[in-house]
Amino acid sequence: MINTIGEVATDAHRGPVLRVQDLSIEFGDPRAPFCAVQKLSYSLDQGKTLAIVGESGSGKSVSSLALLGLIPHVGGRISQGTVLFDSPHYGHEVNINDLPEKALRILRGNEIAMIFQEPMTSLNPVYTVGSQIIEAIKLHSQKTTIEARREALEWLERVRLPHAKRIIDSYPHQLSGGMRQRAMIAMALSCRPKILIADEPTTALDVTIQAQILHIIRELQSELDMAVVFISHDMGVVSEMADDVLVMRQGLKVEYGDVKDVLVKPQHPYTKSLLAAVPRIGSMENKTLPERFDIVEDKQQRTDGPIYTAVAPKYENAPLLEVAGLTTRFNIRSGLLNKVTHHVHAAESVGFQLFKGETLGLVGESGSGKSTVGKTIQQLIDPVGGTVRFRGQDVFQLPKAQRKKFRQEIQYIFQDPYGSLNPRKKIGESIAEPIRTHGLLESKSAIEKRVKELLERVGLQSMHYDRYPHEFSGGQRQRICIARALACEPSLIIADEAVSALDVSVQAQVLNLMMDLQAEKGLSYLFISHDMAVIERVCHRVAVMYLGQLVELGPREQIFKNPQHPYTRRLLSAVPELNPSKKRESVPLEGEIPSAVRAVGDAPFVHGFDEVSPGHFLAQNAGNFRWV
Amino acid sequence: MSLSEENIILPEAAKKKRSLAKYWSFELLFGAFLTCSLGVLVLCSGLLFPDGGEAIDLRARLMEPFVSWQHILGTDSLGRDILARVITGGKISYLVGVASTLGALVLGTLVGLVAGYYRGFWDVLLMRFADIQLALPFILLAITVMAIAGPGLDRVIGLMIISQWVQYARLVRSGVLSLREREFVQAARSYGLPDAKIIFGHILPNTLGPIIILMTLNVANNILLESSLTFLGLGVDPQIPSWGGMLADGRNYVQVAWWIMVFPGLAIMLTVLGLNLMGDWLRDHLDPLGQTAK
Repeated sequence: MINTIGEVATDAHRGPVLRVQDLSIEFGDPRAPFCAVQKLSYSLDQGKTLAIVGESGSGKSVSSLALLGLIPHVGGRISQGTVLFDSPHYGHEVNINDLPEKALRILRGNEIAMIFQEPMTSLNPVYTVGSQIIEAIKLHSQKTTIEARREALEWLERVRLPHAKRIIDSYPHQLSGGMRQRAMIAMALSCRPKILIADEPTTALDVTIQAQILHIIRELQSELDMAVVFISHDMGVVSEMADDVLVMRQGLKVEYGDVKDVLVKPQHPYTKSLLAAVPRIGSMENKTLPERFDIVEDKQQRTDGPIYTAVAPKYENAPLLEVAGLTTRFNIRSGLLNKVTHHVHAAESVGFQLFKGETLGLVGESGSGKSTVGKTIQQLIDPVGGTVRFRGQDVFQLPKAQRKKFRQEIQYIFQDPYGSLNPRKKIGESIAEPIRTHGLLESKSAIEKRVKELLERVGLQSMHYDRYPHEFSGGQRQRICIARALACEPSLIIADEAVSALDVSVQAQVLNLMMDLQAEKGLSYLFISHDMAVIERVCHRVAVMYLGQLVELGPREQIFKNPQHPYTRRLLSAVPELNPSKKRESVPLEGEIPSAVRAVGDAPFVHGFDEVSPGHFLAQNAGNFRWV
Repeated sequence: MSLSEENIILPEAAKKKRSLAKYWSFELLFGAFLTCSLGVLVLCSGLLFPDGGEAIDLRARLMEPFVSWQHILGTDSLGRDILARVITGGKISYLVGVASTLGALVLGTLVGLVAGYYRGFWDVLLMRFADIQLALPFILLAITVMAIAGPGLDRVIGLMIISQWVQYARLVRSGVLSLREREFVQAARSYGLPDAKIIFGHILPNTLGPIIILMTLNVANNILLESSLTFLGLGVDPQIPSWGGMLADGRNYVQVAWWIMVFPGLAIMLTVLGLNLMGDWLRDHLDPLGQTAK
């Protein structure tokens, strides 16, 4: 069954280790197939990195599953083409498509390995990390358990896991996301594969951890002289990692070439527009106001109202929202009597002001408590202490009945556009519900008319009223959520990672819509995000959160141009830059974000603030900041 | 090629699928046919068989089926017409099966919704009740209740409700626990929707699927349970025909007169089959994602 198409690679050093030719992959009914990948060709040299870029549904992940012969497992068919792999095991080039399952199992993990996006689910929770790596090593070699364990330990040290001796006997749930992803890499590389397929390996990780992981992959790649197929949607990461770039769209190859050519001088209009939609850090220097994305939008297709230009908020007026000393903790119970033994200090004495027509960016990594602050202001969580004043009134001092008014004026947009709409309600009803709840309109026809107006305002159509959420794409659903928020005629919208789950071009469109709405209606946004580049684009002022406390707060321009707190600097330097001629050489700082869980009675020290320049506040203990 | 990849206008095909035709399926037709035809027969049993299947004809004892037009499904040991008894007996079985299931469903769902949504005190209290309920053997409970209150149809139904609400409560509660953390529920809370509307408008519809499946299975189970109670002498009056009672009667004659047992058994089977088919269909079509879920 083994094909010897093409010549046996004589020049074993630098020839292509992988050649994909005219690969087409189909799903579904053979009479009316869905073509996930069409006529894809590329080649990959030893020691090089090919980045496959594309938005969701572009076929980038499916095409890489074909390299492992896994297409039948996901219910697809290879209708055409070859995947030629120069296998050391066979000593010549083999066509992956023609190999029987048994032969494929020799290659998988051993010569072609893969790491996945979700480090939380790609390790089996009931086995220790070590035993899973040992299993992988023993599967492809004749080593004894003791030898394999020694090797596993060696690999855990190579991916720079601290305390490898302890971690080898830990279960996955005892490790953080970044540590798990390192363990995954150790497992994937333990057989010294020729090709590593990395499918969005850092998408689920924080930006500082991402920098560490990318560095490890690059370092081990040159050490093992391994080829890497790097799948990503993040242009910055691609620019940092890739030698060659392949841009895919709807199963088709759009552009393919050297990373410098593709990212700097893109030829295809799709690549151009994709790059235009990427927010770049530093692009907003010397601009004080937010700016729309200059994306090529088809004028016929644009239905979401006129374009507005951003205006500066009036800071001399009283603030719309004033948060002071806001503290939110969660209890952790344990022991026989189920007593509260620990607190999660999600938010400690957080304070800021938000003005009419202003966007305040709340930025931080996972566990920093930024969502908790948003949810507490929205009264979804009860605080332990502190005040939230909206239009001068203390929200938490009011009786329950009067608080309802604030739930009309403050609206929340969630991260997951798939989860935040009831799948069993027509979207028109979902949007109408807040109008009814607050009695904003009386008659049924008036409500329906208003909902249809809102749908059109956010770029959908009034005929979509009777559809269910599953009939819409992610970006459309987020537009529906925005319409639902607008239905209350709010003055403040809390956007909690509202665009993080969207593709970059859709993200740009939704952000443009949000900025237009702000300029049109004078809305204020509390924009919670982990993405520094997005924050830079849309915010007037920025607050940086770390371990439940604000560490720096100031005008956006100041924060990005002149960051004062070490953590802010760190966060900014970890963002991958979209500049392929400048590969980052410096080793990213090691370490994990410390835990916000503390024993009862061991409350963290609440630091004060210094005003370093007008409106720019810095935590007083910034000098003592240490990355643990 | 423009960037606006979102096809704002959905394909026409998606719209066509919304027409009525998609709601018809063999499942529904067959299930509805079975349930409706049996139901109509049972409801009209008073007209069809004015004697209620209680007329005794000792000269025609244990008559085989399909030999006489007068007793087309044969007769039992007292010469009572099997057909008349099956149809009349359906009344009791339908009543017990449906009423006890609906009762348990309503009670259990309410308990599950309250316990799951509010957590805390109510959750602990109600779920401990459920645990106690699960720990009590059904037969022991049945004997106790019947010994104190005496046998009767209402007591049978009440007993079944008491013994079965726990299943619904547990099922609903586990669904609610995950649903209440879902973002659309949080979103509803964030725009100030009252609790009752969140519970009944957002959470309940999303827990219906498994409830319906459990319900269709329970109807069948309850018909059989009623028959076991009757068999033990704890159920309804043995004089009144019921499918369970007939099964119990026929047991003694199964080697010489199979028909006494087979026809009520067949009636139970067809009822359950019809209900299950309809339940399946209902679950699929209550879910807007039903098309893909299949």
